[in-house]
Amino acid sequence: MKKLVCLFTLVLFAVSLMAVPAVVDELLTPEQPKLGGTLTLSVTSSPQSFNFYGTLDGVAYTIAGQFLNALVEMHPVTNALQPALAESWEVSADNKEVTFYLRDVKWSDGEPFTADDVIFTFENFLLNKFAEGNSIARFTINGEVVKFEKVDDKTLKAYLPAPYGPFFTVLSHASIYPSHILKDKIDENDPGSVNELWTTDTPLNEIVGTGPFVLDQYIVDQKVTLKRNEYYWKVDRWGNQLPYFDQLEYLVVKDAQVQSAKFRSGEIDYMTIEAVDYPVLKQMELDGGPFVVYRAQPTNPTPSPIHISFNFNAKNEELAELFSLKNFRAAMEFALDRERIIEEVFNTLAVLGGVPVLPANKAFYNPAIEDLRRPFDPEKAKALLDEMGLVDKNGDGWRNLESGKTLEFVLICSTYQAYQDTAYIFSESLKAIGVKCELQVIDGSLLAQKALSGDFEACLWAFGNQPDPQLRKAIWSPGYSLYYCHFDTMNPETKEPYADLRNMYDWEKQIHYAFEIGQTAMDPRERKVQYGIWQELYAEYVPFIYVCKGMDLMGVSKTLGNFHQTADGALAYAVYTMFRK
Amino acid sequence: MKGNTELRVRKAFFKHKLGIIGMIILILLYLMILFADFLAPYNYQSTKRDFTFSEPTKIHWRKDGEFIGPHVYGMTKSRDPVTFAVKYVKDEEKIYPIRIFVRGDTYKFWGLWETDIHLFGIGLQDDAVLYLFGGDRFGRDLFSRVLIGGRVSLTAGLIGTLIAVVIGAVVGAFSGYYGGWIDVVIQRLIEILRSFPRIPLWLALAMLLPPTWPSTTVYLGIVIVLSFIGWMGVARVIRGMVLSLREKEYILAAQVIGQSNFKIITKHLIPNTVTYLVVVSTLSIPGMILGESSISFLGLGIKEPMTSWGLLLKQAQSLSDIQAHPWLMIPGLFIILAVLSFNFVGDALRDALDPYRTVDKV
Amino acid sequence: MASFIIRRILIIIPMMFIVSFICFFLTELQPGDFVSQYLENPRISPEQIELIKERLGLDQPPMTRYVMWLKQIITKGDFGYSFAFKRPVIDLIWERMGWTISIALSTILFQWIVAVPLGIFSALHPYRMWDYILTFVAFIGISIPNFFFALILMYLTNSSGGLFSSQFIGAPLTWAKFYDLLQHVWLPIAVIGLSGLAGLMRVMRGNMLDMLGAPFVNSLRARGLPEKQVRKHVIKNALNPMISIAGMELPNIFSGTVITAIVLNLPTMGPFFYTALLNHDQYLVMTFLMFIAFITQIGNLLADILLAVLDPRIRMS
Repeated sequence: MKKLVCLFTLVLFAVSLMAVPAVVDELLTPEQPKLGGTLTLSVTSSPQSFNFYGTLDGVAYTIAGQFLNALVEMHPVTNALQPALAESWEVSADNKEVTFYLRDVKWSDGEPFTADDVIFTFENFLLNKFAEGNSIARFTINGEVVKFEKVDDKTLKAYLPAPYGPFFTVLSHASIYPSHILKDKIDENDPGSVNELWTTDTPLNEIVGTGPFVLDQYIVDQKVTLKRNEYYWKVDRWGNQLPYFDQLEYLVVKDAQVQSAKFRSGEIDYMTIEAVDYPVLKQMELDGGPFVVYRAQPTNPTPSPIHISFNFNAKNEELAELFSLKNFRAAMEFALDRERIIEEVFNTLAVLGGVPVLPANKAFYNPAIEDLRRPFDPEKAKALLDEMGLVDKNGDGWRNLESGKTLEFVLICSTYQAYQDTAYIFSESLKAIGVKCELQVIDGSLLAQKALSGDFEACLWAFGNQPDPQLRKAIWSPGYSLYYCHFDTMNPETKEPYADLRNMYDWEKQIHYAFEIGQTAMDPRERKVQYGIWQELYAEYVPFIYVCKGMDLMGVSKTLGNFHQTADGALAYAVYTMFRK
Repeated sequence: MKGNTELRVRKAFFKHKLGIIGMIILILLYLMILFADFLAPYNYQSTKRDFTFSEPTKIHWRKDGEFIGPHVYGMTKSRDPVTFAVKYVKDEEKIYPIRIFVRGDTYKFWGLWETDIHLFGIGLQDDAVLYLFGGDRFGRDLFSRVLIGGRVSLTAGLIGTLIAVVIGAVVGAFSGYYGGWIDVVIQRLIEILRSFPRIPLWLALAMLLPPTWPSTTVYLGIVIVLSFIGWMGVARVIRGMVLSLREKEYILAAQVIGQSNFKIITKHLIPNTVTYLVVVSTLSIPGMILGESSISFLGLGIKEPMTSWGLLLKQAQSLSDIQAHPWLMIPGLFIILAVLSFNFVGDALRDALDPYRTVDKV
Repeated sequence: MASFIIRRILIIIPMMFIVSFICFFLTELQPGDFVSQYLENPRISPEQIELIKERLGLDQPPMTRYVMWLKQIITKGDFGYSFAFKRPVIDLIWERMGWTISIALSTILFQWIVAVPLGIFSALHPYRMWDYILTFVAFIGISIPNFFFALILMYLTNSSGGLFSSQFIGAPLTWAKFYDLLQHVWLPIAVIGLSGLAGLMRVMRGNMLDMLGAPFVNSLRARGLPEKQVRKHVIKNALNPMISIAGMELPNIFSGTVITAIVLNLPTMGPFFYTALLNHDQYLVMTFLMFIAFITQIGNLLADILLAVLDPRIRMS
């Protein structure tokens, strides 16, 4: 194992970028803009905090994402990594040292951004285990944490314990905080006090950032308003300083129907659309409505692709043994009518997708899985079950286990309608092949609790696709805390795989190795090969049976400029380059 | 004397015309759920891929101007290539007459014997359905679902009220009859429980139901949650009535001849409050039916594969549905109809049975 | 009188203790806890879950937490922190109280202004066509599920919920803003108001009918008082028993708004409470329930005092 790692780290791959001005590319600015105006969007609840690292609330992330930046960022359309607060960087020959050269940027209050801010953020937030939304796990390699060191005001060094392929990807999620504002407010004796900074009652002029917008006004449960950041560091092709809009508003809209009503009346400029609402809204567009409805190839983590899993360690030992057999899971995949689910639950607006990795993710997707995917074929499912001796012994219409008990299990799923409906169709198909599947619809957070404590038989769930599989290693690599179909592979003490990979099947071990190598490889091609192995094994052994992935459906006001669909079918837009026509 | 009262009551009740209409509707509704399996042309769970979101089936009587009796046409499903909306094209060549006592999905009538005879229908066809209220997203027959869903909605209100009234009457009677510290404790307890807001309390209680319960147990749980609030108002009034009744001669007489307290309460006191109990029951059923629909609306109530009017309505709670599939709102009409009828009947009963209107003074 | 009021107030204290106990166990018994919503979050690791639990005190046994919570309330008036917002729950509730109370009061006002005259009208023309029509319409109001009614109205009137159009949210108060508010606020008031209208109207009608048949009315008439004066007396007497209803009205409306406010996206306590309930934000849920219970107690108290003022006999019992 060690040898393998060394071998791949020997393949030198130094990233070195010349200093370039932050000009936004043509993909985001196909049209010449008009300046000014207000962009109105919506969020599904009030932000629980404005402190990105002090909460796990999704709305807080969305809003903080507008006024904060990281050292590097992902291109909003292509997901390619590009410089952000760091103008350029150098990677040492052994891949363990990265030198960042920081951009000449000012905070929204006019103070200069320096290396101290980066050090401050990592020390007090990112790597502070008491911060509720910290990122220690992502910056830990082989049990050791990445270290940062200031060289001078504009230069910074990161020391990696080992080469770490996804380093820049995780870095793109690490927003930098202003040290000059927050330094004095932290209680040094209580590292947990950082969670209570920038709560929703903070005077908004004390919240500064480097992003395109800064907070201006918060009306409880109604609206969050951000105004243009005069010091934002991006310009367009024509030399205009970004963003184009003077204001960005987020209306707090908890109910999906109200959101839809607001969009229809033009109060909200764009929003994600549910597959069930597509026909009506598309019809309204055709009838001359004030908006355009897009149907695009999925590129985003959400809507999360649905999967079905069977617990190898179910409490019922006979079932557990059955679930851990590849042939049983294969039979279940044969019994899964994806076409019908896409038709009835998604209004045909879904694609088969990959196993965890999206087909649109060129950096990692392995198309070989398309031939491995088992299409709906109840006869094959029946044949496989018959072959395993799971036949109807007492003539009651249900198949029986070896012990004579009926072959039945409970499938848990959350209350979200699309999940419920998918589970319902699956259980109907199972009924047709003589397998009794009882549905249990429970609240989403309870589902997580049951699934992650291994207290279930079968589970229908969904985890978002991420651009880099490493970000979801805890789910997809056996032996980690979210690999919930087979918890025996995890050492409960360390929440990691046992050193001797105890209890893992051979194919699980192969996945484990693929992730280990993929993590420390710096060469993107090598990483693609490793994660390709993992995808094939998943398709073959189906620890998680993937159902489908909803398309990106978006409704957009006709008055918005610089919002378009690319030749590949993906949607291209960014908050800081859109404008009002 | 007794005959006289009866006459007065009957007269007062029948004076209330809305009450009579309500009564008739309720009788029809309860007959409907009693024979739901037989009346429903389809099994409420059977899905049909070719009839998802199909609009209510049009019944035709004539073919080329000639009367041939009620029939429906075959339908083919297609999708609009741009909007992806489901569309149906009828095929006038395929004619399916509507018959009575037709064979269809099998079911167990009252759980007793298996049969496949339905009151009306066109039998099981591949390319045609008789969906009076249209189809839902899985192509299930909404009419059949409304009939079966009514079982949950209409009985939950009834049983919930029954539990509430029985508890209320017993607790109230004990409290009033014994008096003293028992009375004080019970009254304080009631006052505390009554100071909790009704809907938030329902929600909090509904959250207590273990999510792993099978749907029938959840149904019982919901009924109990609903009845949890109703009994307190009843108990207060019954206590007041018992307080005055216990001084009456015949109660004193019963005590003198040594009848047990329990017997006095159940044999003499509670029967004397029956008219009040009838009125208060009728008036609290509507609240419970609405309560069930609210809990289901928030996703804390009845769950698939069982169904109720509240759940059916919740699944149609969207602007797109109002626009594209308005027939999915029909369960809402049934809720309104049932609640309205109970209210009218209750109002009429109150006018008739409770001229001094103790009910309002709770 | 004073001793009656003091007795009535003193009794609230032990009652609130029991209320707090019930609130705590109601929230405690619910399956799951605050951190379970984050279990699938990719940013969180198992150690972090444990740390958060420790920070929030969720690793302590329930009884300890209850006693701690109670102690904070009594000694510092501190009702605890919201797990989600990291702020005192009292602040959070207070932020939303303005709109909650305004909407509740407007609704009550609407109900009384409409229900009382209609009830009187109905009673003066019992069992005639208008009586039936009014009864019918009022009963339809209570028979429609709130959430359904709100959605249908929203669809029919092309309204999009909330209290203001987006440009007026947070803007200084002007006539234009006030007009915008009126255009939005009638919807929740109508939906919530209509659901309670029938009850009030029927009670008023019944009271009137009682009074019209009462002996004192005949004697007034016998003394030759003009019919207008007689009616005035009847109405005044019929309104008296409504006072005890008024006391209960505020908390009822408070709880009645929960579902409507969710559907119509109102910035009130209802949806906030519901989210807190689902997220197991325990202290928030408990404090909210206690708060409503407290208001109810106060409402009862006021009604009792008013009744006692009007009817001296009550003071004795």
